[in-house]
Amino acid sequence: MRLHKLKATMLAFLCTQLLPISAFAADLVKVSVYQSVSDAGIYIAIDRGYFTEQGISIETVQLDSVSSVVTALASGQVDVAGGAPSAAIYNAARQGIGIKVVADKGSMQAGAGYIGLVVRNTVADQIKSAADLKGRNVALAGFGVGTTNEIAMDEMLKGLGLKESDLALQNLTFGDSFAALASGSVDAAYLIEPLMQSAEQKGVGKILITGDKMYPNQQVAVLLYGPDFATKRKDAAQRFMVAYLKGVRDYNNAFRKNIDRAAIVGLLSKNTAVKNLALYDKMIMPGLDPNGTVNAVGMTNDMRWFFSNGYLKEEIDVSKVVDTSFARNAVQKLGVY
Amino acid sequence: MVEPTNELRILPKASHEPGWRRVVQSHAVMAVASPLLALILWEIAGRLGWIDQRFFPTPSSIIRELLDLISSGELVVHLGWTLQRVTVGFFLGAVPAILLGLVMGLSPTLTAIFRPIIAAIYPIPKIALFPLIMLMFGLGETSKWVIVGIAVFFQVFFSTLAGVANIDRIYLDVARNFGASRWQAYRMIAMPAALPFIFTGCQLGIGMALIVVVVAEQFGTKTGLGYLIWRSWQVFEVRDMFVGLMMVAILGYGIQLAMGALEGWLICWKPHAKTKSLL
Amino acid sequence: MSDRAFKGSAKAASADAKIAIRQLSKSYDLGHDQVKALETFDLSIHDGEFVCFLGPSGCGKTTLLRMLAGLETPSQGEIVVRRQTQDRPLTSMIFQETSIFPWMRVRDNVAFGLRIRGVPRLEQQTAVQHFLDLCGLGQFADAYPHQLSGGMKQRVSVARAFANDPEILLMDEPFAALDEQTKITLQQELLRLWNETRKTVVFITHSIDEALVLADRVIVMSGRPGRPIADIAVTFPRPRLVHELKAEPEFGRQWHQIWSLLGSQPQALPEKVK
Repeated sequence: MRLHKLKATMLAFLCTQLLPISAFAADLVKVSVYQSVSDAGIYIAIDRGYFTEQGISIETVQLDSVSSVVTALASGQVDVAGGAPSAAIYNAARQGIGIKVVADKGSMQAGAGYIGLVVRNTVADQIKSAADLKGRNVALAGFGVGTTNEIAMDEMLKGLGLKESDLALQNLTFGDSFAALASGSVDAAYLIEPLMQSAEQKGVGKILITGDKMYPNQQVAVLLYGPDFATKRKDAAQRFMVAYLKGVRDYNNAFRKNIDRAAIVGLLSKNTAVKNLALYDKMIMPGLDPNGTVNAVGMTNDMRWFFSNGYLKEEIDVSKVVDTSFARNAVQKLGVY
Repeated sequence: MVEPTNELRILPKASHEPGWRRVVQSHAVMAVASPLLALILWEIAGRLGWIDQRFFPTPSSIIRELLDLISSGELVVHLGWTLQRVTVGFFLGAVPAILLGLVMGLSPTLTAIFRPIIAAIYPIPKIALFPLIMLMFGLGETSKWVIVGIAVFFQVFFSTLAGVANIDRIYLDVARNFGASRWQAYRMIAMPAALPFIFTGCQLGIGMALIVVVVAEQFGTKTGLGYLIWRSWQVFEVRDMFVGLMMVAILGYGIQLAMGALEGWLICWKPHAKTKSLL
Repeated sequence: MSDRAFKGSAKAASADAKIAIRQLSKSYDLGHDQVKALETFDLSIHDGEFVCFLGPSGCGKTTLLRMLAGLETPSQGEIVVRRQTQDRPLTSMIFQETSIFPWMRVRDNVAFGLRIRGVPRLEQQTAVQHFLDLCGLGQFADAYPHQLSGGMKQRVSVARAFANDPEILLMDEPFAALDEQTKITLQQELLRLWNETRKTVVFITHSIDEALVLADRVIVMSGRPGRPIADIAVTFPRPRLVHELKAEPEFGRQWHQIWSLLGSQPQALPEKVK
């Protein structure tokens, strides 16, 4: 009897001591980022305390490919991730993995073509327009593995009456593409910022056309929620979105309206791979929709393109992958930008 | 009278052994049965939900996918390209490796000149050289042959060198006493004496070639088992990826068996060629 | 019996010898030390002579044979070997250990010397077949060495040397590793082969029996550093039958004489006497 009483007292003591702490403990959300400028919304929200405001603490991890992101999201190793809406996302959905596309994290809005075709300086006088690329060696990151880059290229070529096979396309990473352009192995390369600017500044190449003109408003990167985060932790997921969009709006204020620009540039240079402050004045900044809207129509077209090019075994219903409710609710709270 | 306890009876073995034990001890049966058993366990674990089928699809679904890819003709194309790259790369690496290994093994001077260079390059992971090789040989087939060749070269070279170093001195004494020329000594003594070592090197080399080719096929190509694996992973088509992995495994095993048979035939002068115990 | 003491022998190095050894010595460098294997000596061997070198282990007799085979060079002095013709090889050696090539069939092993010399195929085949038959290897011609017993392997080695048809045969304890019965059989066959060819033979052994059975002349060596201490003529008539020879009283007398010679040497007791 005495022992029981003692145990009960100890239990009561523990409860009173520990409960308040857990009640105030922030929700821990694990986020996969790439250290790229299009992760701006997340970095700004972390740095300015928008997540803390929403009772969320963030742990960031880095993953190397969309498939790793899908795996990590599905197994709950990360809750939120940035990623390209490549064939992997649709294939995962087709195989019953309930990851959700919840917001824009990089789109080719007019003037925001942050990926583009660069031609080598020594052949720039021969390649004056995209049509002159016919028969040339061109580096295209993600060629042949079901990425949005290939669709952008195909869209552009279609407009010119050309096919992919009219070019000698090579799948190289963005970094290797730059090296191949510099060494002369390829005559043109599809490069992401800040490599586009570096190519021009170092006299390696000239920008021929940017992505926003190849495939206007293409959805190039999205914010993804893992299945459990989107369904079982809805409340935290909602609060996450509010903080994220606040970060995205600061980004838009800085680069579209010149509000507080220096502070945001400093913050990004600290967190992303682009460390050189001067580059922020020159490079083309990615489009991040301040209301989180994703181009679902474009994504449906991309999904069909993946299907007809053999990267997807059957078509899927894109509206089941895209969940706009989090962004809509956040906009209600924050007001339309 | 001899007491029974002091008696040791030595009897024939087979008669009273249970049948299952004889089956288990048959190497040929186990060579097929043990991988089969692993596949069955995998299948059961997948069906019962112990492992996530979305990431580790069951063998039966992989085999269905395999048959699909065969009937569409896609798999044969990939297999053919990989085989072509491995074969060309193998000869590109093995032939100079054997020649240099034989010559160096019998010449202390050449060993002194070349060994430091080769020993220094040896520990570099060959695939790390691939970007450099693409820079030198372009993005096409040549760079793949070269990287496979380099990987094969080192395996075969060091085995050949060890083989020549292990030649019983007396055979070289006989050659000298009988007035053999340098070339005759290579052809009639060093080459056949080192052949078992060279063969081991070639088997290791082929394994290395497969590893390297699969990685190399991630770059600058849309063909080959490596591309199939890589693309399938990139588009999150896990079953296709497993088909690719399975094909590499089958290809590797097949090549080893073929090499084993070839070895048994070429080195028939060795009392117990290791191939006989394999299958 | 005419035993010739070595020192001061006028015939020690005569000019018409097949092999003339003059002021020969051999030392090895072992780090800082020099080990003397052979003490300076002179010796002549005549054409068609069957000479046995007999001595304890480490007396340098194998070194001497390797120098004759061209596998090692003297430290001092010279060996002069007179050639009859340039068409035939000068020496062929039969080694103590198994030295036939495991990757060649018996037939190809026996043909080895002929192939090296580029003898025409047809001629090769005839010679090989002849010595295969002589050595009792006829039915094993296509076998690989791993399929043969130790005795058969040494037969192949003997056949390989004879088929090469050298002017001088060098034999380094070729039967030492064999069992007694096989050894006697092979000794008998060697005698028969030699009777047919009458080649100059330099034969190394540590067995007194073997030396007396085979040789015309037995050179007894001292312990290290080795030098000849006696040159004994063996005059049993040929052809000889090994088993009968051993029953001769003269055999026993000479055996005992050599035994005493070896015994008088410091550390000279043959280690391998069985």
